Amino acid sequence: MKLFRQGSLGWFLEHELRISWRFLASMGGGKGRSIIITFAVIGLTALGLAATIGLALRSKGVHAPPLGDLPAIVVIIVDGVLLFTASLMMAQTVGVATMVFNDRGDLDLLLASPTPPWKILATRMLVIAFNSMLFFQILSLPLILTATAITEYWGLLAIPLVVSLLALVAAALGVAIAMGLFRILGPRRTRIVAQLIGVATGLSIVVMTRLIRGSGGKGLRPLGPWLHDSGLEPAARWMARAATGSPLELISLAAGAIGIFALVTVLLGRRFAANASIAAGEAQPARANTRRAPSTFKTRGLRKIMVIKELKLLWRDPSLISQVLLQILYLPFVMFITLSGRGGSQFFTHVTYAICAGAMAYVAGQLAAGFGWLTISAEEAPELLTCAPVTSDQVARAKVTAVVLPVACLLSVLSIGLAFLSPWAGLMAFVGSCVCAAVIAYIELWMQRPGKRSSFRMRRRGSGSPWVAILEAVICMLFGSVTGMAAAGTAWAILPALLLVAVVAIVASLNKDKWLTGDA
Amino acid sequence: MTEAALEIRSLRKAFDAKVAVDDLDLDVRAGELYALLGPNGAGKTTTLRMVTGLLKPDKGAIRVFGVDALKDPIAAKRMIAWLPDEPMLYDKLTPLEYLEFIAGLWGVDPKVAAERAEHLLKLLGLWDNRDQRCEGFSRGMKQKASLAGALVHDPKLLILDEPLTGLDAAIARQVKNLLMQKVSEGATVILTTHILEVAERMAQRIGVIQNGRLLAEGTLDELRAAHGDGKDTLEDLFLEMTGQADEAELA
Repeated sequence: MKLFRQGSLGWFLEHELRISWRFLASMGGGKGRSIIITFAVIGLTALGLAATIGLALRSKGVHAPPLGDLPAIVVIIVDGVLLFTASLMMAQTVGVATMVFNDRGDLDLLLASPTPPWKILATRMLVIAFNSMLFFQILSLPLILTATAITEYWGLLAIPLVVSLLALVAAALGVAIAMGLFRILGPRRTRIVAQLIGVATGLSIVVMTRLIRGSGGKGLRPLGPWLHDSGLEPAARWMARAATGSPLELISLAAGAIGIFALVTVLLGRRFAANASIAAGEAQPARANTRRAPSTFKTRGLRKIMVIKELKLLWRDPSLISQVLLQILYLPFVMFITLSGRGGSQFFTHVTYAICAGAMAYVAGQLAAGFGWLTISAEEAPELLTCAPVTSDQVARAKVTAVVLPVACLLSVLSIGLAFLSPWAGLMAFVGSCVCAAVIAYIELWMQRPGKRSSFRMRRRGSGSPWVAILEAVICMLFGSVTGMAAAGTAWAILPALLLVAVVAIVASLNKDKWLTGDA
Repeated sequence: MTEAALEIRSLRKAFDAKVAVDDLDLDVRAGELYALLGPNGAGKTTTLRMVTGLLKPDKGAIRVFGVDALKDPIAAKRMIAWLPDEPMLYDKLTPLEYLEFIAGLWGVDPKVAAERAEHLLKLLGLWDNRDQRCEGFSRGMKQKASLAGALVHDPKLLILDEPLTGLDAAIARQVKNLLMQKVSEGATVILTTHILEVAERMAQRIGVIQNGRLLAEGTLDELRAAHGDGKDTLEDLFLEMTGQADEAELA
């Protein structure tokens, strides 16, 4: 017997879940199912452990004061955490909201069917909401369980529900913003601007943190009177009460969130279908690009023509550029905030420079991973290169150059900025960034994950891809540590450096038949 | 005696338990248009992909104009152009840039490449679209741009896998004319096709392959003499040879 009536919202959700489950199960060369089960077991164990720790602490006499009528500081902390979570979810949902009309998948099939567009939109928004809240739920559940066990205050279990409701609102607002941008800017620019708004939303959190830090070292306490004076206290208390399980506030929050979600669904359902068909038209561009291309048939070496080709392909795909550059967009702001916070002792100033240098090497690696996937795994005409009378070594070297060059150019700007403050740190940042980018490019070469350029956003989900992404993240972190420590001038840099060499050597030896050739 | 453009000896390729090409011997003479026919899954594309260096054979030998393609693949590739059924294009490049890139890969003198590119794009009716990105092209235009790419390095051996699939009549005629022109200029063309009339009208010699083995080879008349009553069409002969005649009748 079917759980949901055919064509109902639940039926569509069931369909999405089935597709997602089968997609996840096919990951890692078909081992996805066992990986998911393993993770589920680990997750449940962690939850059990958290509850046990909470109970043990309580039995040892660790008690939290009863929440009672929430003190101002509790309100500020609870609301702050919720605001922080909601902002991050908003940043994510605005960034991905354009997928509702851009990700073709089965969209054409669904829109060609007699299903009302609002149902398709609602399903997609629910998927966005689910994806955006998943990380926070996994991260916060053990903490919530521990806190509940210590306080024996069952109302805290309302927090996951509140996070879910906030995710619904974030998804609805994200889609509404994307639709508005679509109407004003058109489909192509919407994707980029939406991603930028997502970044700006994320950055606002960094700025907020900076503001709190700048409140003269008094932490959150000055916010109490400010809340009171600004008249926001009732709203802040209402949210905090909902999160701590007060039924009336919780029900009103649920009604509000579901109301916003339903309103966006109903109001924008028809518009969504129209946007989807416009986006489909844009995906198959019929317009002629009549700008004269400077094809001059100059004499060039293989490496040069390959680099020029890769840069042209990237430059002509603004949505890809924005997706790759999103990874670096945070860096100047974080660097600025970190550097503006330096001062005091010379030691802390050095630490600040070291953090910046390390962060730059890490970001360079992540950028190289993005460029590398596009250049190597998402090569559009691999057969053309295989058929060409050039060795695979030549192609591999040219590809690695094509990956490292743009990363080096981008990071050189930031390195020069850092070098004005500390020439040594600037030099280390540049060297670390370039070497990290080159190593990551080779990892991409050895462990290719073929895919289409259009699926850049999904590149980490292909067969075996999550493991490559994890490996790359580990190598980037190690490079960040080595670069940071080297920038600080400490000999301890040798330790992560040795670990890094060991990791890269193991990966290289496991793939030694693919050295340079890239014959994955 | 005519020089051999392609010699294949005892070629074998298996994918796990499935043998795609089984001890295949094949000879294609220089300057001829050779049609390689066979039902779906016969091993045609696998064979041609091994010739172009896209697949490694399990065993056997491949010689392209006397060059051992397995020992010296670069020298062999210099003489070959490969045109698969799906065009190998970069969507964000213009046809002119695409040809420039291919000329660079094959090390063609830039001046010569520029002249050839202009000639080919004009011949294929793409000159007016030379500065437009390929992403907006129809399938036929993409196939023509891909064909221009295959010809820009003036290959001695042109290998085409289903080159006419999905093309309208006018574009198909253009492609056929260009192939005949290349043959008349001395190039060797090997093509696979399911459109048997194309093979019947264009090919000097025809090879029929099934289960990775060559069933028959020769001119149309030779095939008729050996396998038919002398008046059969290529379709009749093909169905008879591959044992699909009864199946076709039932349909």
